[in-house]
Amino acid sequence: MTGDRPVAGELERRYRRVLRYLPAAYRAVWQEEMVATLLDRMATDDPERAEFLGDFGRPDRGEVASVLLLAVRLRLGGTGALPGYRPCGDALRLVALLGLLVQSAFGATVLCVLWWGYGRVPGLVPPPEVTAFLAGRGWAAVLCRVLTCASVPAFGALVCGYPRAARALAALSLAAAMLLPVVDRAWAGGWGATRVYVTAVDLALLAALWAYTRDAPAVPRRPWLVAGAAGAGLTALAVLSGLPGVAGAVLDWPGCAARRWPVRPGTTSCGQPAGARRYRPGGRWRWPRSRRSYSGTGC
Amino acid sequence: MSTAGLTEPAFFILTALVDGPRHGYGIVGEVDRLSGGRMALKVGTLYGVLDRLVADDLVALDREEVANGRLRRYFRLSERGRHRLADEAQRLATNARIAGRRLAATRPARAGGTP
Repeated sequence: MTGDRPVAGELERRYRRVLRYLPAAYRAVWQEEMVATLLDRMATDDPERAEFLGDFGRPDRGEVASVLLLAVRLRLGGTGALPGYRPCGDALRLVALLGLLVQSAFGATVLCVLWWGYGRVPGLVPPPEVTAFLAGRGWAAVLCRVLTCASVPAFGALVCGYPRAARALAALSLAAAMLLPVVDRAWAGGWGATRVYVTAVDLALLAALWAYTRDAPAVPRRPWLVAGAAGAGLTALAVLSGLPGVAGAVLDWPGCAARRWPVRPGTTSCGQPAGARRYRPGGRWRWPRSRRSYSGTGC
Repeated sequence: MSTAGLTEPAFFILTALVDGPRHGYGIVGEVDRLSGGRMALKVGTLYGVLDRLVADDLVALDREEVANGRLRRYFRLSERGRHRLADEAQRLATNARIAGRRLAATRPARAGGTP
């Protein structure tokens, strides 16, 4: 739509209202020029149409979106941010990165439990509680839970400098988490107040990932990858040690007993009931020490 | 901006200014023509990129005019911007030659499968 008849009036005021989203310092330099260009794009040869557009025309949605994106980039961008806005953007990026790290740690743990529960870890018997739990679940519920673990590659993508991929994967993870109560209400526990709160936090974190604009400073790769691995390891340790029956399946209880290491009562390796006869190095059978009271959790 | 490659909008904006100063709407129209309609620059994108190009001294303000009661700023390509654009064009041409050579070399193999 081009022509000689300029468009003004109400449309110009509407465009100026949109431009108010830009930082004041930026508007002071560019606003008049931007208004001129926006209205030039609407100019037409037909005087009646120019008058109509001036009174009733609406700002182009694409132009409005581009202005809003520019407003976000100027406030949250890295090198392209206006002076004074850079610390705000850096803080938001840090929050997004930390949030994704926590999500990826839990995602990695869920993957480990599922992998183990399906008996895919060689040399380790699946914990009976997990196996029984998975037996009653349909494929849709399991798939949905696996998709929530997309936060793991999302964190990797963000650290390796692919924020777009990270956003897409984080959105997939969030969508799966929101779908889980629908697919498997018993597993996810439905839409209680806690889930609504957690989802709201996840949505905020997803939005914060948009602070990784093109000119955002690169994430230091090595320390954050180490932090991600450490976070996943610690979370897995914390979750697995609290899972009923899991510690017994992991630990070499006979070996622990032979070395007089503390063990947790009531659990055995290979799913044997506590109190069963065990082999002790040296060829003699003995009753395990699990009848006593111990406070440790294992070797 | 000096080390990383130019974004596509920045590349086209610099190219649009090669033959003379232009104002914002003039740049939008010229970019549209140069890209064959493939790149429709939005105003937010245009002024976001222009702001950076001016800050990096690749584009400079040429003059200001008032037309129909509105401000029009004309921008021109600086010497630094001309060198930067030439470097980028050279880089893209080299990349295109590499891709072209490889495509030409693998064309006969497509029928029988690549090793």
